Amino acid sequence: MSVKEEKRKEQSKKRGEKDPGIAPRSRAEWVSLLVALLLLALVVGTVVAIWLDPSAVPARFRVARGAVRVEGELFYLPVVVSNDGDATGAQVTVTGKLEADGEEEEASTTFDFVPGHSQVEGSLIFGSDPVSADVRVTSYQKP
Amino acid sequence: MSKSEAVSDWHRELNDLMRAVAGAFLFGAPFLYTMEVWWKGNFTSPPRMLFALAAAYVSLVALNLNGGFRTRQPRAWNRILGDSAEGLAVALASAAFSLVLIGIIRFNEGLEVIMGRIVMEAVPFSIGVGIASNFLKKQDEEGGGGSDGLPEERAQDWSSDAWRGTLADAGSTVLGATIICSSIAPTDEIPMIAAGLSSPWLLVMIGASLLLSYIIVFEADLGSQSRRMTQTGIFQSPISETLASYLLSLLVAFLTMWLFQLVRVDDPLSQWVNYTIVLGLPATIGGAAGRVAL
Repeated sequence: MSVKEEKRKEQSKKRGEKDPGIAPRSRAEWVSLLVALLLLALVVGTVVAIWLDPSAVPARFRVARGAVRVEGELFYLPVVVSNDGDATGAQVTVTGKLEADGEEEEASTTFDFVPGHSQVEGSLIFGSDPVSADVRVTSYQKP
Repeated sequence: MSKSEAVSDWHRELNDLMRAVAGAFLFGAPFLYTMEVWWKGNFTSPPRMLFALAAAYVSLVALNLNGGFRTRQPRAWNRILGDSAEGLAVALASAAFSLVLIGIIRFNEGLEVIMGRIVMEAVPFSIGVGIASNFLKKQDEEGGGGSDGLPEERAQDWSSDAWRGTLADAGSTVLGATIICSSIAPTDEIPMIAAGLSSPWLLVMIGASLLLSYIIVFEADLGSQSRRMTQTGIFQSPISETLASYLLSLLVAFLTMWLFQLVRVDDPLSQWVNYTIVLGLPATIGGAAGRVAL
């Protein structure tokens, strides 16, 4: 034991403190240790349960369209992209295609990540009313 | 055991746990505002999560050998192992709380993603818990703190000049907040986090910032706390100090964002307010650390 440690021990003895290395845990310490162990068991148990779950469905996207909003001469089409799979999709690109006056118009947006069982929101902006637009996820990457 | 001893045991345990929380946030705040850490959590596999938890636990055991978060350093092995488990639990709870607070965890997301983000963020938080009592603890010892207290003359000398004390505290707050803000303000995390938060949630964030600042300086018994409790000056009532330093931290947050052109004079007021409150959280943690450290 170093001189410093001995000195510290002596000082704490003088103050009537028990050596924390030897003294039994107080009730407060037992309670916080128990709560901590329960919390850790919950976290580790959840991670192990996810690991053992065999349903590793790849990313699977669904696009829901919201109500069109008109701003000036432009039409804003809100989209909600849901990933019904278990795996995360990265760089998820949503593209909307619209035939108007014989011309094809295209709008797209890219989301950095759409984790499994999660939703992200964005908007596609068109020059014509996108009521008949075809909107779908056109690409994604495995992170 | 007498009643007063039992009360003091509970009080000491609460203080120790608050010190662990303070350490976690002091070290973890810059990692909390790093989107790459959240993103890694998006695709962390369960075995990797278990490895991260094990690595955090081993680090805590190593740090508990000569530090940890308790005032009374554990020396017996069963204490060290138990304290490390408690430290890891505190880190996980703090990481989960802070990720919910900044809107990175939402309850409509998949469990794997939520666990991944919490576990990855808990790794730096664990290091913070492990070095909590090393943070500036020496100042109290060197200053003759602890049970011995300061030499009376020195204490009076210091407290007789309230203005000097106030300016010193304000300066330390500004310095601590500036250090943290300069590393976070130029990044894209601020607009990203602010965009996802509603106005009522911003109020929750203000409350959390004040609470954390209070915990770090007045509850965690870090650094020069015993000296601080005897000081006079505008900053020296716990509530007024917490409020004044929060306002100063907000000012520093705003100025650093302006410096890095994250906010411009033409931007709407709501953007100023939202961004400032979002950066105000790590700023006030830095400010509190500055007051404890300097």
